[in-house]
Order: sequence, then C-alpha cells, then structure tokens
Amino acid sequence: MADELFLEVFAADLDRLFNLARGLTGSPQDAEDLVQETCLRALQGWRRQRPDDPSPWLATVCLNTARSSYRKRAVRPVECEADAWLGAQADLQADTAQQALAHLDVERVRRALQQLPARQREAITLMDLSGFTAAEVATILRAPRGTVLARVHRGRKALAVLLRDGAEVGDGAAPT
Amino acid sequence: MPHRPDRDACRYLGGTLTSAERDRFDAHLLTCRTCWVQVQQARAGRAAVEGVREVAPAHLRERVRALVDAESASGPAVRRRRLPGRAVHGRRVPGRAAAAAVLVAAAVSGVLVLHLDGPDEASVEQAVADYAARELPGTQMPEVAAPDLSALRLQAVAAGAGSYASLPVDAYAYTDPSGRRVALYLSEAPFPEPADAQPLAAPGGPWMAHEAGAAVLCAMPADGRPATSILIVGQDDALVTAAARALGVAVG
Repeated sequence: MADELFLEVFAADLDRLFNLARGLTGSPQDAEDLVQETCLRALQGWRRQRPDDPSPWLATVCLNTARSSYRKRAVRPVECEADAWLGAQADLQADTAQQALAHLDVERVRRALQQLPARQREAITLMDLSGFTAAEVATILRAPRGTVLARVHRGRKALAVLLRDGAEVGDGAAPT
Repeated sequence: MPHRPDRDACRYLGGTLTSAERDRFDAHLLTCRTCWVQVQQARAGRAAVEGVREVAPAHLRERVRALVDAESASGPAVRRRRLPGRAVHGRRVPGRAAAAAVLVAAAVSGVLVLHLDGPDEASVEQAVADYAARELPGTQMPEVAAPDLSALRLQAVAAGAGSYASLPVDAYAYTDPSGRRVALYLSEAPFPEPADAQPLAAPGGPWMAHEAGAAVLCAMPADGRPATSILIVGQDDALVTAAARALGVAVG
C-alpha cells in the first residue's frame, strides 16, 4: 500500500524528474537510467520516512544520484568558465541574439546547457526545465535564494551567448 | 545606488525588487543599453531552455512501475538493483521483459536449479541467478570505481553496493562488444566456498565452480593480490579466468 502511494507520487512527478534528468545528463538513455536509479533510491527513503513535500525531495534525490553517478564514473561534463568567457562578449547585440534564438533546434540547446558550469546548469535545469520556483530550488540546492537567482541569471545569459554564436559543441566539450 | 547591470538585471528578473524599484528599473532600461542587453540575454536563455521541455516517454513510465512492483514483491529486506535493461547487443529492453525472458529460457533449458544443497552452494546459485537475471546486489553506488577490464574489451555497465551471502559487497557488471557478460563481486571478507569447488592452484587459493551453465571463479587476497576477495561470474571458464588474470589473480 505504501509503495502504491509512492508510485502514485513518483508518477505524478515523472515529467518533471525526466526533464531534470535530461538537463543533468548527456543523453536520453542516461536520463532514463538516472530516473530509474532515482526511483529505487527514493523508494528506500520513502519507506524509512515519507517527505512532507515530495516534489522537491524527489528532485533532491535525483540530483544527488546524478552527482554520485558522475563522481563514480568520472564522466562529469567538462565545465567552462562561462562568466569569464562572457566578459569578451560585452558588445553583444541583444536584438540579434533574440533573432538568432528564435529558431533553435532542441539538440543545440541541450548541448549548450551541458557546457554551462555545473552549478548554473543545475539551477537552470531545476527552474527552467523542471519548473521549480526559486524558493524550491534554493531548498533543493541548499543555497540562498539570491545565490540561486544569480546562478540562473548568469547561466541564462551564458546560454544565450553560446547559442547566438553557435559556440556549443558536442560531447560536453568546452568551447575553444 | 551604484549601477551594476548584472546584479540589477538579476534582481529585476528574479522578482526581488520592490514595486518602486521595479518602476525605476523599467524607466532605466529605456536609456541603458547595457542593462537592456542583460535582460534580453537572460530572457532569451530562459526561453531557449523552456522550449526543450519534454514529456517522459511512455516506456519509462512502464519501467518505473515495473521497478516499484519488483521492489514491492521482494520486500524491504531484500534490496536488489535491477540493471537498466540492456540486451546483449546494446538494445534496451524493459527489465521486467528481460527477467521474464531469462525465466522462459531457464524453463526451456532446465538450467534453473531450485533445490539448495547448503549455504555455500546457495551462495553460488544466487550469484549465478543474479547473473542470469542481470541483477546486482544493493541499490547504492559502490564507493570504489569499477576495476578496469578494458584489456578484455569489457566495459562496466552497472554497479551496486549491497549484500551477498551475508557479506557486504561491491558488485559490477561488464559487457564486451560481442555481448559477453561478466559480474564481479568484491568483498573485504572471504566468499564461502562450495563443496564441489575445484581448486585452481594450491589449497586455499583460487577456486572455480559451475552452476546452471555459468562459471564462478573466486580468489582471496594473497601477497597483496588481489587486494580484496573477488568473485567472478561469467558464461564460460575462459572468460572468468581471463578476467581474474586481468585483476592480478594467479590462476595457474
């Protein structure tokens, strides 16, 4: 009975968790594996103690599982110092960026997302892909809300520049 | 207040400005191109990410249900980790379907041994049954990375930390490009030796046993190699012996 309730809760959040997993991993297959691993870990935790607020809790389990997997497999995507890199882009024309972003294909966006520093990528994925509020993301990441907003803001800008300039590359490699 | 476009745009978009501050920033945006660019960039980035949201695939929903069903059936005391449904040629199939296929194959070939001869034999049988069902003990990730068997073209595809024969173990599953599979168990404590085990070297050294068409090779620490007790399950003697050698075991 308890497991049925867990399944009901997990299924209700599956789209959100899948989008989170997609943002944290490099492929749909890895995302599906991550969701399944999250399911198993969350079920164990659920049996010990049910969370008060399941959605952020499930996202936390997913995030920790992803971090653990990356650490163990040592395949964490290469990170670039997007902030420093952006410093050279000070003369960006905003209207041009808007036009360039109007017809992006999905894979380009996903590749660009993988190039962001991990903290920015996690924050953006939680807010813009999974739809959590800034307050919820702050809880999940155990960071002040202002810090979360700053990471999201910088990440969104970095993403816009990467996409505008076509600087995103495959396989998580940093731009050169 | 000093003009800091990055911080100000962040607060503006994050909704942390008061109503009066927001009105002032709205007016400021009309005359400050730097802040305007900041805001436009961030909005463009957000729109791009929101545009790639997806609905979870239907088969993932089914897999999740199957996982929870399987965990419920095994009960909280038995915590096993099902591998993520990879078939021998890399095609992904639902774990439940893979397990069912194993059971059907076992029924047809008659290799599924249902009687238990004793705790040590039962341990070997459990390792082989898990190998056939593509399962590993535990639901946690091991603290130690999978040992390198790339010399045999074996790549780690799954790992789990849990209990085997009442021993805490780290377990790893490998496959090679031709679909051959190996399961590797590591433990700080010695693995139980079945009565029909065949010694591969001196008494107390590595041994091999066979169960349901699979080969099981075990080696204990000796002279620092291997550093921990290892148990290898594979489809034939040659494969498990090669894997043991790759791990530094002297198997004669």
